[in-house]
Amino acid sequence: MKTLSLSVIRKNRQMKWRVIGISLLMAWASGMFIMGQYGALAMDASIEDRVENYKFPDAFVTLNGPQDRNTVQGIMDGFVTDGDVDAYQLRLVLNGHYYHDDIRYPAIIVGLEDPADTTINKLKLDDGVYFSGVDEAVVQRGMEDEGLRSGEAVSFTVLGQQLGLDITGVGISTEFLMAGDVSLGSFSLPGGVAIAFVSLDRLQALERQGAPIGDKVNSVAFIGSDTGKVIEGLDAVGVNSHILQMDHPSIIFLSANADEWRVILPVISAMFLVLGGVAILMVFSRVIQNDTRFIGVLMAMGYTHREIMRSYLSFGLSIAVISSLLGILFGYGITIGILEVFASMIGDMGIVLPFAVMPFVYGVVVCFIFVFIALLLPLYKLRMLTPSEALEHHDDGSVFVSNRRMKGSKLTVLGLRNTFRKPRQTLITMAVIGLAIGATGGWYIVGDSAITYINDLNAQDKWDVETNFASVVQAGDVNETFLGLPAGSSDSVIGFMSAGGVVQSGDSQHIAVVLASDSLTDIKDFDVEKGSLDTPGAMLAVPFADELGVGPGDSIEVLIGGTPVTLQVTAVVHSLLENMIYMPLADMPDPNQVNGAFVVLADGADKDDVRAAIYANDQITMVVFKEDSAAALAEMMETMEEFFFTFMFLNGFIAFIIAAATVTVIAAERDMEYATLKSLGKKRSEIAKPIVIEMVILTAGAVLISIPAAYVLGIFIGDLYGQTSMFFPVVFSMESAVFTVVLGVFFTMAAAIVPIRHAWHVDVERMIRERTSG
Amino acid sequence: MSLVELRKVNKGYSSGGEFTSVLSDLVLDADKGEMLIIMGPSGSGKTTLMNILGGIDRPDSGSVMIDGEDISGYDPVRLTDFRRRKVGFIFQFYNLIPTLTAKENVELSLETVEDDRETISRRASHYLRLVGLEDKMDNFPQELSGGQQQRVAIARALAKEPRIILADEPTGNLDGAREESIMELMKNIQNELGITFFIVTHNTKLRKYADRVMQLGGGVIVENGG
Repeated sequence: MKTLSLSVIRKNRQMKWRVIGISLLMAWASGMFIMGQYGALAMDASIEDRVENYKFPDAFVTLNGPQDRNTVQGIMDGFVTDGDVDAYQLRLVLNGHYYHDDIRYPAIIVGLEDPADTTINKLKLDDGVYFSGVDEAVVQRGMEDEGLRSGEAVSFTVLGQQLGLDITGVGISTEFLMAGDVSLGSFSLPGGVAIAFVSLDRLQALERQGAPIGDKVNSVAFIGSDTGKVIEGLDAVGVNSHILQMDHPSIIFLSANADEWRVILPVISAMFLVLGGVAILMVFSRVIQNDTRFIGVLMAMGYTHREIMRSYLSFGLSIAVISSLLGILFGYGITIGILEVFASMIGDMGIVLPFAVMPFVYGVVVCFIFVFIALLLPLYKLRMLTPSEALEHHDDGSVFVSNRRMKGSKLTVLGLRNTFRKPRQTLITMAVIGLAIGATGGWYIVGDSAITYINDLNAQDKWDVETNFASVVQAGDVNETFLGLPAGSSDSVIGFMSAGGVVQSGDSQHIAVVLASDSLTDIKDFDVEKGSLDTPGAMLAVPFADELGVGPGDSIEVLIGGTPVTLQVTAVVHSLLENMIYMPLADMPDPNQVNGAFVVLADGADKDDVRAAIYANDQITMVVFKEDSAAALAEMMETMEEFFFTFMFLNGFIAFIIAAATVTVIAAERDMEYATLKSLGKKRSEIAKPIVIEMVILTAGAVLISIPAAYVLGIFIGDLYGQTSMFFPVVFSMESAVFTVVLGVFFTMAAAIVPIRHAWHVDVERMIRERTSG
Repeated sequence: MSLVELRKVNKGYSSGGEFTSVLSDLVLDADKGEMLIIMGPSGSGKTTLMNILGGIDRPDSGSVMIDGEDISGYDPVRLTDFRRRKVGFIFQFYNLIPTLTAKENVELSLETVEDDRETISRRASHYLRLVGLEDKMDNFPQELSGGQQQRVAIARALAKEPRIILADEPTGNLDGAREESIMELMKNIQNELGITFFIVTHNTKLRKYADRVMQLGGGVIVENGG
């Protein structure tokens, strides 16, 4: 190794804690970048795995009730002959209930001709075997703790009849990955839905309206090139609704997460990279400044600018190499960790980790780019130095001082004057620390805003119970008696019709969730963003209205169950479901039909009695009690809090590193002063005093900068969240301002220990000998 | 022909729109193996003259012929190459690299002219022995006295065997005994190796070591004699 490089490497070693601190910061940033890219790739691979390996259908079509199997099969065979369909699956899908330990779970029973079909919608077994007898079933993974395990004999209630089944195996069907994810009126966690696959014959044998269903099916799944043509063809037997592969909840859920990872994490990582870059710039500028005379000596010896710069690049290189290697470890490790947590959160999701080099290469490249960009300015200064300038360089000892007389001890005056001896440097330091604290506070603001928003929206619900019916019923029939509730237990029963819809806007289609009722304002205390609730009309969720570019006074056309409906937009409201349209029942294609009801319980109603009554009603396939959803919400809030606050504390730690690195740069300029104080016999506490005073002032300035920085960052992250996963308005509260200040003071003042230790450990004898001899 | 020939060299600096002449029509000759001591009050142009001789600075006009090369028109790249091959510097404050040992400091200089590691190591050891530091080769500068540090600086300047050595107040930071010792060392090297020395000093006691003493004043040589 060249001696010149050796000298710089040894210098780096002397600054090892600064190098390690900055490297950790850059490694974390690089790791986040890798995590964003690799995590998104893993999500994409998981989706691809689902679609390809599980032969995920291109479309699922729900027919208007059970239809003759031979007729449907004839239609589909025609499409196969024409080459429009590669494979299809005819099913009879019924809703029901499953009881375990006195808890009722909603159930979906799927009747299949061949459970081992590998051409479409594969049902993959985790254990056991496929069913072969009529009283056998395979169940979806995720409800093992609730008794749905291989070898168990269980009973489902379907159409008011008991369906006893022996479980032969536990498997996974991608179609039901997100079953029960979201209910209309509130938030509920995924899982908790029992799904059983049984023989088609067994389900067809069940009685409906006093007679066996017979050889009928009500659901068609297919893989084909022209989904529109096939759906149109099936309309001959009546299509109730359909869902395309790209709109399927499983695919949307995975895609949204992939997008979130791909966009948000690199943006956050860029923030860390910039802060790390500033820290490198400050440290490296100081190194070059300190070494200017030695650079002059090297030039006098005949070293070229290029040779000298190359040796200094080893400083950047060592940071870039350490950061990149750690970044790869962080990136891979955290991706696996988070994906595993993610996979466990959603129950039965299998994550595929693809072999991919490029995300790691990108992470390394980004890290190197930021490190070397940070080195550009100090290296440019070095490049512009002439030998005579460098040799005649004297460290700029001139300082800015005020002539004003200051009260207090000389150490206090020293601390106060030291703070502003180089005003520009002080301001830059305040700004850098302020931005780092701002980033910390930004996460708090985002977390606080999201949680407050969700809690507020949930609190707007006026109902106590949400019920979904097995089939549509006449709106006028929906009352306390229909639901089987104890007399007088409810104040009101509000029927609703929920459906999927498609809104055409320009060339693009937008999937909507429609909730129609004549008493919308009795269901929810709407938070109106624009418009008014006084006029009946369509109310759109804020992000959906933004996406469509419509507002009060505009009209939209929604395709509901194949029927186009024109709606007048009267208000834009806040809603947990982002693609929500609330509309009057009168505007629905059939204004007399509903498929669910909200119940507002009377004061003093016995909730246990209500619960028992609803569970006993086989007309109700799905039920959400507000108190249950509140518990689920609290659980979700806890997870969200953990997520946001983890980032917040990591940011706080980074703020600590940045504060420590920048103030140490300042402290390193004053070694001679510390040596002088020590030589004067000052005690450790006295040497620390001016540093503490300086840190207090720096912290005060930094936290002032951090508050607007936190808010701007909060808006930025909130906007990214809105675009990729979940909308929520970012709100700045006094509480978040106080929290940002407290956090900033805590982490920045903690960083004071670094320059204080530095000052305490200055070697007086060596310092005075070195400095006074040149 | 002289090793160093300066003809009508002018150099000045502009500051705040005002031009100050530092060297004016300066003429100077020095032979191979000669030791010249340059004296003069502050601002007389001593450092400027040394910078021009060492290829650190360029004259505004005139010619600077050193070892057959007129460096007055050289661009920065050629000046760097010139310094690399023909000039050694000794500074008042030694200017050793604190993170390198004595031997590594000498090797640092040698690496500008030599690639072979073994040759570099051998020559560094040789010159450190020459200045009497054979037992301090692996010591860092902070572990050496001022006089020892200046010896390392001399070895560093000598090691690449330059044609001229420029020493700016080489004993300015040393006490009387060490001052004598360093000057005697340089005198011996001058005699043994035939290197031309230019030494800038305020110390009149050093005149006895000089082959010639030049007194600078107002940018010109006001006294030039033995």
